[in-house]
Amino acid sequence: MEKTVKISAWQLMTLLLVGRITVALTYSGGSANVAHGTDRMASLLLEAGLLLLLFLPTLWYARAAQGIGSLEYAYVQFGKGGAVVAVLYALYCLYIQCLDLMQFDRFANTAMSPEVPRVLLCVALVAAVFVAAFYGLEAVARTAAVIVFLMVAAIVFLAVSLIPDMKALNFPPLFYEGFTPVWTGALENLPRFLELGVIALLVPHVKGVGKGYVWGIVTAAAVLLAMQITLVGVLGDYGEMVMYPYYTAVTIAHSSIVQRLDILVAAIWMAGLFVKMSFLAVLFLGCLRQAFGDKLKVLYVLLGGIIVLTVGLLLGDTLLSVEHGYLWLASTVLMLAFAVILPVILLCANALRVKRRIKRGDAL
Amino acid sequence: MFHKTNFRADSRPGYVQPPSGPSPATPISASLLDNLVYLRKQFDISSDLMIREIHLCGYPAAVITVEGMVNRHILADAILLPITEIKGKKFSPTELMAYIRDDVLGSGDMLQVRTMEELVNLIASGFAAIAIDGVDYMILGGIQGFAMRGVSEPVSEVMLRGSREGFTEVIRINLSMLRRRLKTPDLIFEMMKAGKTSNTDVCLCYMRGRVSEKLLRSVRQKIENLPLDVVLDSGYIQPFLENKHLSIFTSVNTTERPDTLCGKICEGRIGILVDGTPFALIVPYLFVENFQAMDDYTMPPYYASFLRILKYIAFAVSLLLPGLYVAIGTHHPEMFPPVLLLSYLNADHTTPFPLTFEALLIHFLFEIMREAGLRFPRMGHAVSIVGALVIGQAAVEAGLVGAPMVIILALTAISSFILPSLYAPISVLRFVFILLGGALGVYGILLGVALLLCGICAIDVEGIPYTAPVSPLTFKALKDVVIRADWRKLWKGNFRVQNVKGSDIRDDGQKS
Repeated sequence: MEKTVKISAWQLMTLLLVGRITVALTYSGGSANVAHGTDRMASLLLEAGLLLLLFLPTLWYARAAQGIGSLEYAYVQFGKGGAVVAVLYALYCLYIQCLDLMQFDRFANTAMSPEVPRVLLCVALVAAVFVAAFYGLEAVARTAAVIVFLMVAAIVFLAVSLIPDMKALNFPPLFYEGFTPVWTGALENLPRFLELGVIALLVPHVKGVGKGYVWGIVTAAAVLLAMQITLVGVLGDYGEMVMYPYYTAVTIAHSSIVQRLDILVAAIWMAGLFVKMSFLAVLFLGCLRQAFGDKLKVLYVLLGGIIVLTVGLLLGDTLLSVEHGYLWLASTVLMLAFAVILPVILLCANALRVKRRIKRGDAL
Repeated sequence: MFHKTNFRADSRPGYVQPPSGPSPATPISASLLDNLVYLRKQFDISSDLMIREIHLCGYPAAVITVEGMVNRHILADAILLPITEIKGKKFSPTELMAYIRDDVLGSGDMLQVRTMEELVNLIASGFAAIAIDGVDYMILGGIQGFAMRGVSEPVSEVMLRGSREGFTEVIRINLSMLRRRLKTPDLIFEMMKAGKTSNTDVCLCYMRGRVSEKLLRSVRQKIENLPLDVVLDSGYIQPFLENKHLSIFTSVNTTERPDTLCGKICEGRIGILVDGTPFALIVPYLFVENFQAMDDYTMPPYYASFLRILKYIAFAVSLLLPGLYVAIGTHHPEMFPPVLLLSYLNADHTTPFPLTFEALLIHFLFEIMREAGLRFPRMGHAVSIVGALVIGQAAVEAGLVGAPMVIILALTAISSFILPSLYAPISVLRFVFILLGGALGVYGILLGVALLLCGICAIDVEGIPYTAPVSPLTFKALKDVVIRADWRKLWKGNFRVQNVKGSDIRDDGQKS
């Protein structure tokens, strides 16, 4: 029976939501002049607004391309040159995965139980992610729908468990330090949502890209807001001094037969990370298959896994030391390139091609 | 004559074996002798071919049966006696055959065949054939009388309330059980043959107007193209109906209960009955159906829902509990409450092996004993005693395994018996999770669960997601997933399996 690879807007929303929550769980406060506490809540809302604005070029592309994905569109415009775009997309996916693995490695190194060998854990994670790449987009999207439910349920459970530890005094007044930290906080967090750059790829595979994206961002904003309220209510100003404030806030909870709930956060984070990285691994594999054919798919996956592991484990510490500097800049440039510039280039190239054809009198 | 050239051809010098493929049908000859020679040649030295040669109105004739497949009394009373009593009338052989067919035999199951292949197939199924010299066809009457097991309670699907009938090995009896429950002409029984040598009767049972045409085409095609030579059980066909061959979870269900099959057929599924086995196949089969039982629909909704929740918890326990215990004990003992931690440490200090090995060992021993008890049921009690004494007491006293591990094993084993359809994947995956927990702690278990979930989500059953209606979510269908709604709500909505979200074989006009 012929199978059409299609995911629903709801599934896209869950994929994006999982990505956002995963990033937020390891939010480490950022640099000194960004929003903290109550201001961070305003910053989250501003960030959501900016992410919706940044989606406009992709949305414009999706409407104009009439259901053709950016990769297929690149092949139409540039012929075999489309393979270059495919490789660039594949590298972009690997870049996001490397960043995720670096964050995971750092988290495993500093916060998680030291008994577990972190390198083995990272290898297992990457292996699982690239095996999942073979299952395809639909499988990962369906998994995301289940995992997001568990993640949100766990977050709500943690929030409820932490209510007795929350204090009203911990909430500083809004805009206490002015609006600048809110703005810089939103800007600093913006390139942490690099999945925006691959949405154009998904156009032919999602029923309602725009709806899925908008709902993904809005729901994520609501969940992150709930997490921030929990965090600020429990930790107050102390949250600014620790590396993983949400994780720290949860370690003090006692409302369970299990003594420590921090393991729940780590579990949520790993599940989310698995989904996010698998989603990108599927896209990575899809791009390379489109560019170089289907025969060597095992090799692509092996290659991808080795690159992610090497960069994530060997260069992780070096790269994360410039997280708020060069790495932020690189992520911003890449995100803008794939989310804004590439769709515009593709549509302009199409307009030029059509113009040339009209000039020559060719049939369109 | 056809038979001479046919069965002597291979002895001719220079004869070349024709290419393999469906052999052309051999027509029945007008010569009785040729037909009998052909049959004797086909059955060779087989002793169960019975040919009773007689004379009817002066013409040589024969009644052909296979011993053990027909009822001797019916053969004598309903076939031999009436035809031998035809006297005093002048018939040509063809008129005689027509007279016997139309006026003499009163059997309801009458057939007329013109090829030897059909004839062989039918007499092997319990038909008696009447052949007359000078007639190029034969008539057959169904007088099956082979030994068979009676209808009894299904062993693998015991119910507290409801029908006690289970399928038997005879396909016709099974079909009658279905027809008795669904008295509608929309219930279609489509007979097919499977197995090039065994010629096993296979019947597709579905409800016209409810089943998806695409699904039906696909299943029909798969059975028609079955490459098997012999089909002795529905389990032979099952792998050919699965879409994902390497998956540990099956997307084709089996049932011994006619009421269960009727329920599934009414939801647009296809039942496949195979002659010789009491286990019917159901296509497509979704993951959530592992947690449903016929009992759920006869009990009050609140209790049925409670049982469903219990089953989901039992699934998680049987799959993950040993792995989690190993993971927490090995890597995160601080997660245990202090009292439990103390008893865990006490047990840990008295055993020589690492926790992972201990868990693997005891679960391995349990599986051996379970298998022994299952394959040798008369010794089941002895196996239980040995198991209880060796594993339960001696192993703990000897310090081979800790007492908490025995409790974990007991809990896991009992939980896994709640879900018989998932026993096979659970018992294998349990070992994987023990290894993951031992190597990577809770994080390893979680990764394993995520990958397993992704693997389950990747299964498509004839274009229907295996994880439907949970993911992709079909709200309407959720009233029969974790909770079981009241019948007043359940019957509404006209649920059809092909119309769940994410399905590629939706009926026309269904919203996607």
